[in-house]
Amino acid sequence: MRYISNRYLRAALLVLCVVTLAVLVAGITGCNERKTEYTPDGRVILNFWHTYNDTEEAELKAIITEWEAKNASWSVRAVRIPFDGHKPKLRTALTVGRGPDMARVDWSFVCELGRKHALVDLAPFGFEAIKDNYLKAPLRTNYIDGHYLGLPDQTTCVAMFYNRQLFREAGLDPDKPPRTWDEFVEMGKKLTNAEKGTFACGFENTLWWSLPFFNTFGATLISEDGKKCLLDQEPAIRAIDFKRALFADHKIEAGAWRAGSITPEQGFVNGKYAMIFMGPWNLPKFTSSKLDFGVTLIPAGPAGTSTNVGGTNVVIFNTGKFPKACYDFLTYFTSAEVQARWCSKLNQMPVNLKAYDLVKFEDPHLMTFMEQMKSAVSNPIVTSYERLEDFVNPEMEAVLTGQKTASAAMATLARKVEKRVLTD
Amino acid sequence: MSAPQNSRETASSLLFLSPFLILFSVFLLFPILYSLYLSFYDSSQGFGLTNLRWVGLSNYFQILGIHWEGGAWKFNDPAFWWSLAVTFLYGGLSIPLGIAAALFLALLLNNKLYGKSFFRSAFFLPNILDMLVVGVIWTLIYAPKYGALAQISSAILGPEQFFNKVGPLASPYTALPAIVFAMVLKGAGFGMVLFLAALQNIPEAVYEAADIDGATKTQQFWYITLPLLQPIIFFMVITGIIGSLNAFTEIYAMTAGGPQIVIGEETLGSTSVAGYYLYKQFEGGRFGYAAAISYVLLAITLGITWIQQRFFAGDKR
Amino acid sequence: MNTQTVQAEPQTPAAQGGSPLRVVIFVTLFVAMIALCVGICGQLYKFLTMVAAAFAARGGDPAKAGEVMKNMAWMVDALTAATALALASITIRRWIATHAEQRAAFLRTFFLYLCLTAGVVVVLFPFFWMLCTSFKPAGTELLINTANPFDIVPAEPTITNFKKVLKLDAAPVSAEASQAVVDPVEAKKNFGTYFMNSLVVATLAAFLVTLFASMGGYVFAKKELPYKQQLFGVLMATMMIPGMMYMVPQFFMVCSMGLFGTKLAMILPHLASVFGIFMLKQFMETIPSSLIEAARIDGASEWQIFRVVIIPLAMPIILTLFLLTFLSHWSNFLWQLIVTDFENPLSITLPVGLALFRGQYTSDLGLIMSASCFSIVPIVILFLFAQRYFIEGMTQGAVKE
Repeated sequence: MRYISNRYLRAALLVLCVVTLAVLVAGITGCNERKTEYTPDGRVILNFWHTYNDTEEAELKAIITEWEAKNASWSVRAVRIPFDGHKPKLRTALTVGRGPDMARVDWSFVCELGRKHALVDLAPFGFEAIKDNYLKAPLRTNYIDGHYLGLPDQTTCVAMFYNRQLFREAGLDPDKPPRTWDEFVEMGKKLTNAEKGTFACGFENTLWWSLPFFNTFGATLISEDGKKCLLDQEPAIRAIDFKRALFADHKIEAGAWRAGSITPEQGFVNGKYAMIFMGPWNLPKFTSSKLDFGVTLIPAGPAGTSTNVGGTNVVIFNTGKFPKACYDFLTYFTSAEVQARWCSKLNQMPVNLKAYDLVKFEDPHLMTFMEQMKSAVSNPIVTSYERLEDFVNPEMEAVLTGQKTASAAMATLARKVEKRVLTD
Repeated sequence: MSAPQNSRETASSLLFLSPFLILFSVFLLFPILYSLYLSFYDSSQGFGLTNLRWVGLSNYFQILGIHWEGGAWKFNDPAFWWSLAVTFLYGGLSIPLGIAAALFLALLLNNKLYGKSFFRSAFFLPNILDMLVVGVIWTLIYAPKYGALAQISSAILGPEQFFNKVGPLASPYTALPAIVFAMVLKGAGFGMVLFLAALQNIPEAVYEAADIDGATKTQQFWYITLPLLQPIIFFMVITGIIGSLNAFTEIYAMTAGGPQIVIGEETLGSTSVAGYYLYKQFEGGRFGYAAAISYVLLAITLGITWIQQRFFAGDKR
Repeated sequence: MNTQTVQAEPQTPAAQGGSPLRVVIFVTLFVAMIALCVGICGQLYKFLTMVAAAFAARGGDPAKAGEVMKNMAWMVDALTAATALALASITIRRWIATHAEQRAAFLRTFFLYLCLTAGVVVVLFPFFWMLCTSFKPAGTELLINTANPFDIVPAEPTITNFKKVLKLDAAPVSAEASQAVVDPVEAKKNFGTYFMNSLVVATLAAFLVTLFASMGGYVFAKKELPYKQQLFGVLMATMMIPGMMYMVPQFFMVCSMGLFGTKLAMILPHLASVFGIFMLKQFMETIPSSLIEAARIDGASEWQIFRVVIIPLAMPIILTLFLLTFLSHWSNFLWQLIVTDFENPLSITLPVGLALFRGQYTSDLGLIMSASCFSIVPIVILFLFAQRYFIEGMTQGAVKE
């Protein structure tokens, strides 16, 4: 190393090092711990990060006011964060110790948060007693390694939408949609007219949208202990092969899973696809587009009808200082009466079983969804759901395009999932 | 140069450079070194920086290593190597095309043309559109049957052809070129502006002298214009390489990793470039692994640059 | 073009050779031009009538707006025909007025204009599509006009999407909620605040980045510094590392400096732009050093040289860098999301605000596109303003020695 003879250079380097070191020292001491905040009337403020939209947030604020009227020491501050990006936001906030007391998160996020030891176990607060009030499938998404780390606050599932007009034109009874997969194939052949561009159905290829297929064939993806992947078992292979057959053999599926093709939602609105899987969130849009459609249960396979589960859960973070108060609020928030009001007003399905009797919907299609919800099966619980999809989606696509057979694809997939996803 | 002059020059250089340098070392250098540090840890045990688990070089082995399985040597992480290959292809297509398109536009619009300022602005405008929106729109253009491309090609070539039936984004062989095409159209305006600005700096006198000497337009282009534009071309190549390495949003918006192609036993995404693959690791919360990947990429790029400098750059000024 | 000699030319035998081919080419180009003109004008005029109709139907009722549009349809057709006719007559007159020898050049220019126009259409199509979609009522954005798929201007437009973005139509609130005290902070959570925040962040960032990068670029391009090459190499190497790797450490540092949730935090880590230095260095290298020498001989100080000689010459690139930096901060979602303190919503910027606006299940394309429109419009205005300086800077022409 040459001796740096230039005076100015040396001085500059010295200044640089000092500045950098100073900043580093400041950095390593880390962000200060969050101090408890109080309202003017002496209540402790609990931060609740949620991802609700405008109408839901207004309802939430009303419920908070009610709850605060029932006690004198707590106040909930509802902080709205965008749903697209709530995961990175929470991850980085938790990394520097600036997380909230409780938050509403996507169902698949609970496992990651749990395995990274960020959540509070609900058992010490007496959750065992009330856990059976909740819908089984959404509740199951909170059960991580033997502990309940959250509870459901909103749930959806997927049912089958069908175009009654297209049914009529094909000579089928619009009030009798297919009940089983065999009927589906039969009716599908009548509904497909490749030259006109109308198809019987259009499906997405992601794992979540394919879960109804797996569930109706009775296939589970991950074993109970979370260590083995069961995709190479008989039911899963049959499910995937059936999906492939819809596209490749019977030619009644439009290939809506291919990049750049018309999505199921788009195709349904335009009258190109006669039947799609969809959730209740699109009901307002479909109704306003003046489409003559109906909603029915997913066709039954060897394991009967079934569906997947969407929605969100609410969790309590262990960096917060008042988990019991948070628990009280969250259980109040998801109690039967509150749920009944919330769901009637916002046209959503309750997560609390006791609310089912209290709720009255104007939209009759929602009753079908409630019916479908009864046969919902929990989704696979893994630390990183995105990672699971990263491995499963490509293999399923390879099967659909005929590049691999279902059994070969599932065999390699199961090994890969076990090695790369389940070990996290 | 006398010594006082030298140190005065150095002092003023440092003064000019200091704001940048200070901000750089605080906000860029430290994070880079920190990422290097992070690449030796596994971050899956918890949030917060106290929950890191030392794994040494294990992340690097996972990326670069091979293992014996089923009677053959296999990559530990075939998806990574594949993403490198795809990135290479992506860069190899988009960089030359991008430079050519930008240069072509600049040369075209450098002449006396009625309304040239309108054309210049119009071609630059797509550059300011959000990448996500551009991706969505091009997906709709490429869509089979109802997309603009399908419609036009049906009118010319009839309905039973590729664009109408399958669409460029659905076939593993055409997805990447389709994305490259969309990106070149979007980015050509930026290069065009750079080239135009540099073209203006070339004095007329040089061209006049060449005319007198009897050089043709093509000769003038090759021997006068192109060498004088060399700094800009170099800039576009480097930013093109970096852009290819970091390309993520356009892939995310248009193909999400792309139609799958099966090679051997592996199912691989035909548009899964390195930036997209890195993002996927990041999304899964595997910061340590992602850091290791970015350093491997850096090492590879530096290696290529070094080789290029050593063996191919003859007249580098 | 001499019009007097026009009639004589075609008779001479010299002009006969190659003339039929030229006429054929001319006719083809002419037909293509008319087709392009009809297509473009049709859509453009229809778009204008659509905008007028959408604003005329105050309540945002698409059916009423559709009525208005149908009434104005004859205007669209008439205007399109008129434009096409005008273009046709100008072209034919020009063609007849050109000498036979100059006809080849004329055809070349004609072809060039056609290609450029087609290129502009392709390149600006996404903008147009975005504008049209933002006027479409909910549920109809994806409907494809089966009669003529190229006609993307909606027949029944509405301005409801824009009103929703600006929160000018109140969302239905429950009775209990409306009785709750209106939080003054919450009331500020609207589009105007987001917009102003983004404007401040982007402008400040763009200005500072450009300043530091031009100072630094000047050093690397024209000044002396020991180990300059090596330092530049190191900077280039750091450019190769993707930005997302820096995010967590930078957030950590910003937090510990106590800047969490401030606008300063959104720009501070990005003020050292290696890309900027690189771009300015490359461009400044094309400036002749003789100018700097001359200024030195005249006794100018370093800063004066920088200010008076370098900056004006590098102005086009400096403006480009300003624009690009402004753009990247204007639409930088991820970093701003991480740094924003949602418990204090006054610091929310536009991309984050728009994400808040997009609920969980709304893939309402019309709404998203109208939000994007708001996001794009300031950039377009800035660009149109700046590009005058582009042109001026570029037509300064050759540097005088």
